[in-house]
Amino acid sequence: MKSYRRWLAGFAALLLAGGVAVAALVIWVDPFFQYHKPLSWFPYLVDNQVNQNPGLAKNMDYEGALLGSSMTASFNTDWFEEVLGIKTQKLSYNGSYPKDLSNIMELIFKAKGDQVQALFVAVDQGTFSGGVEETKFPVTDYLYDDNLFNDVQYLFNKDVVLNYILRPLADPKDKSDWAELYKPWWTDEYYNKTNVLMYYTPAEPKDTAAPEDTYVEAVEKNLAQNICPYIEAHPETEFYFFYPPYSILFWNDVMQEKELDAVIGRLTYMTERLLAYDNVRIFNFLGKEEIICNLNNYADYIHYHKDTCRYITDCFADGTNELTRENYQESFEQVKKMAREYDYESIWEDWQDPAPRFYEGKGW
Amino acid sequence: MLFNSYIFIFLFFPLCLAGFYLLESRGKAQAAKIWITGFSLWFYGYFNLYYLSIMVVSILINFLIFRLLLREKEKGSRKNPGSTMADGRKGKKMPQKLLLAAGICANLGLLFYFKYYDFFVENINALFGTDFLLKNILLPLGISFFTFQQIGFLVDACRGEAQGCSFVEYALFVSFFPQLIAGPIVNYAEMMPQFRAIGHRAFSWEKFTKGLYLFTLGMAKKVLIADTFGLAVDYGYGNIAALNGTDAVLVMVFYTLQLYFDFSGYCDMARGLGWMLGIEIPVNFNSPYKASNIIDFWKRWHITLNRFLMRYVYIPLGGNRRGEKRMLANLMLVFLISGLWHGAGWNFVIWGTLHGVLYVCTRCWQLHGGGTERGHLPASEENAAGFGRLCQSLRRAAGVFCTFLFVNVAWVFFRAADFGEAAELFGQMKNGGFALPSAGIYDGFNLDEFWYVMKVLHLTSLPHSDMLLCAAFLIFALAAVFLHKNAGEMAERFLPKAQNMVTTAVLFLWCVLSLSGVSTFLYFNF
Repeated sequence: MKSYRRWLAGFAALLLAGGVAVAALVIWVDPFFQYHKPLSWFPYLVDNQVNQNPGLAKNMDYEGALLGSSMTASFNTDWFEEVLGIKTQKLSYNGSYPKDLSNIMELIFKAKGDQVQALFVAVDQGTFSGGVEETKFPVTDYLYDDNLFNDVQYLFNKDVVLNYILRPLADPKDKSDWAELYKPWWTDEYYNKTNVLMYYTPAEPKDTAAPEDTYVEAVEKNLAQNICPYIEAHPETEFYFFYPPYSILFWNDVMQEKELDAVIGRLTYMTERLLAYDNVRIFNFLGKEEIICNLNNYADYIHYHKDTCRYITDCFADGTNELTRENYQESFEQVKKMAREYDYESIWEDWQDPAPRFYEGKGW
Repeated sequence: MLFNSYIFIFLFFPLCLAGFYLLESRGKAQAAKIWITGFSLWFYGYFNLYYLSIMVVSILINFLIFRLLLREKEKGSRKNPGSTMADGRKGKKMPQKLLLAAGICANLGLLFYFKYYDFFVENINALFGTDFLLKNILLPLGISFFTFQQIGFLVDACRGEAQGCSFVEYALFVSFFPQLIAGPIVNYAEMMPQFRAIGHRAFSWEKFTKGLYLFTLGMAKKVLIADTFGLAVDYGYGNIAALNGTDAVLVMVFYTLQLYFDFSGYCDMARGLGWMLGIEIPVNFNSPYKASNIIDFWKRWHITLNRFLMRYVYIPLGGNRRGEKRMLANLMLVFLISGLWHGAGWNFVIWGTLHGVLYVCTRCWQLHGGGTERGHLPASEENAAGFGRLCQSLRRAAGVFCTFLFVNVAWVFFRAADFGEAAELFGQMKNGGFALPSAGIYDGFNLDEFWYVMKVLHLTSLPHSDMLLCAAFLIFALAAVFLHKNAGEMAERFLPKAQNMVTTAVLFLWCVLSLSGVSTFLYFNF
C-alpha cells in the first residue's frame, strides 16, 4: 500500500512541478500579452488577431488604435504618430464584423478609459448588413474576459507554448514588426492588374434591382448596438471612420447584382447617422478613381497597396476626402454616377496596365 | 462537460473526489451518494440545462414505474406467500406486464421523439410524397445510453432481479457521471451493490492509483491518438472527390483506428474514474481488432451494448431455444436494432445489416462444424505440435486480418453521411489510382511537438519527410491494436514503479496541454 502512496505522491509532485513550470513560462513570456507588456528581448510572433488583439488592447502603450478588417492590414502604425502625433496600435481582424469592432472597443476603453485620443476604423459597409452578434471567428472568451479561472486554457495550452514561445525562439527571424502587425504576405510584384484579373470572378448577374432601403434596418441595428454606444460614451475620443477604396471590380459586382441603389442607400444612412456625432469624422475613398480604376494598386479585387494606406493616413491629417453633413450626399451621388457610367468592358481590353501605382513609394 | 476538459480535470473531479471521500470517511453514506448524484447532474447539465431537464423527467417517470412495479410484486407475493422468484416469473400478473410495457413504451417513445422522429418523417415524406415538417430536434447527449439502461432496470425489476432501491440510489444509477453519456450500459446487479457499499468500505490506494493510471491512458488514447487520426478522416470525408485511391484506403483505415481509440479511450477514462471513486465499471472493450471472426469481435466491441441486446431482445425473442432458423432471425434483428441504435439513418441500418449477415453466416458455419467461436482449431488439431500449431497460428492470423478488413469496410457506412458518400469513397478506392497520399491526409499528423524532434534529428531533409509522422502514427496504432495489451489489461497488471510514474505524469501533462482545440467524442450522439 505504501508503494502506491509513494507513487501517487511522486506523480502529483511531478505533475505539479511540470504544470507550474509551464504556467510560469507562459506568464513570463506572455505571448498573448494578457498580463504584461511584451518583453523587450523576446522575438514575439504576432499573427493571431482573435487571440492576440485582446492582450494588445489591454497592455500595450497607445493613444489611438486602428480597427477594421484586412482593409487595415497594410497600414504602418508609425505613420499615425508621424502625421497626427498619435501613437497608434493596430487591432484589426481580417473579415471583421461590427460585433468584432464592438468587442475590441470594449477592451480598449476598459483598459485606457478616457485616454484614447482617436480610433481609426475601416468600415466595410457590407458587413453592417449582417447579424448584430455575428463575429468572423469564434471569440476565445478566456482572453476577452476578466475571469482569472478560465485563464487555465491559456496557461496550459500546447499551441501557446510550442508555437508562440518555443518556435519564435528557434526561428527568431519570423518575429513580427510592431508597426506592421498582420501585414499581408503579398510583395510588390503581386500588385498588378494581370494578377488581379487572373483571380477575379465576376458576380452572377441578377434580374431584379434591390431597393434603396434593403439594408437600412440591419445597418441601423448594428450601429445602435455595436458602434454608437462607444461614440456616445467617449466624447473625448475622435472616431475616424473611412470607407476603403475597393477596386472598380467591386463596383462591377454591385452593378451585376443590381445593388447600386441599395449600396448607396446603406452608405447614405450610415453616414447620416454617424455624422450626427461631433466626435466623428468620416472619409470616403469609394469613388477615388485615381486609386480604384488603376488595378496596379491591388493584389486582388479589394486589397490595396500600402502606398494607398499611406495616402489614407495623410488624408486623416489634411482632411482630403472627408465627408461633412453638407457634402456627403453629393459625394455619394458622384460615386453612384461613376459606378453607373463606368465602361466595365474596357477593364478586360488590356490585361496589363503601364500606369504607376497611386502614391507610389510613399508607403515606405 | 467532457472528461478531457480543463474544468473537469482542474475543478469538477478534484472537488467531487474530495467531498465524496470526506463524507464517506465520516460515515455519511447517504450524503456521499447525494454528493455524487449532484455532481452527476452538474456534469450533464453543463452541456445544456434542457438536456438535464429531460433526463430528470425520465428518471422520475422510470422511478415511479419501478415503485409501482414493486408494489404490484409485493401484492402478488402477499397473495402467494410461498412462491419463489421463478414462480413469480412464470405467474407474472397482468398489472406488472402492463406497467412494464408502459415503462418500455415511455422510454422508447422518448428516444423515438428525440432521435428518430425526423428520420421517420423524412422516410414517410419520401415514400408517400407528403410534406410533413421536420422538427430538427436537438438530440440530448447520451439519451440512447440512459434510456436503454432504464429499460434494462425495469425489466430486471419485473423479473425480480432488481429489488428495492432508494430514489437517490436510482438517480445515481442512471446519472453516474463516469458512464452517463457514452456508456458502458450498466445493470442493477453490477452497480447497486457497489452503491450500497458506499460508506461501508475501506479506501484502496491501489485501486485509486490504477484508476488514475487508466484514466491517463484513456485520455492519451482520445486526445493524442484518436483526435490526430480524426484530422485526416475529417479532411478525407470532406474532400472525397479529390482523394486518390491510396488516400481513400487510408481514410477508411484511419477512421477504424480513430473510432477505436476514441470510444475505448473514453471507456477507459470512465473505468479509471470509477476506480478512483471505488466503483467497478464493466469492461466495454477488449482489444476488438484482435478478434478472429465477427462473433469474437462482438464479444470484444461495445460489450455492454451487445450484452443488453442479447439479454433484453435476443433471449426474450426465444434466443436459440426455438430452432436454428428462429435463432438466426433473432440475431439478424438484434443487429438491425444495433444499427438503428447507433444512428437514425439508412447508413446505420446498412452497417447493422452487414454485421448481422456476416454474424449469421459465421454462426451457421460454426453450427455446421466449420470451427469454434474463437476461431481455434478442433481439440485434436490443437494438441498437434509443430506444423499443426503453425497452421493454427496462420489460420487465426488470417481470421484476424479478414475480420479487420470487413470491419473497416463496414465502418465506412457508419462514418459516411449517407449511402452515396460511402459509395463515393469506395469508388475512389477503385478508380482513384495508386499515388502517394495527399497533403490533407498526412498534414494533421505533423504535430507541433514533433516538429522540434524532426528538426533536431535532421529528419526534415529526408525524402517525403512530411509523411514520416503519418507513417509512424499508423504503425504505432496498428502495433498497439494488434500486438499490445490494451489499456485495461495494462492497468489491471499495473505495479507502481518510478518509470511508469514519470511516463504517466508526462502523458497526463501532455494531454492537458493538448486539450484546447480537441474534438468532441464520436459516441456522444448515439
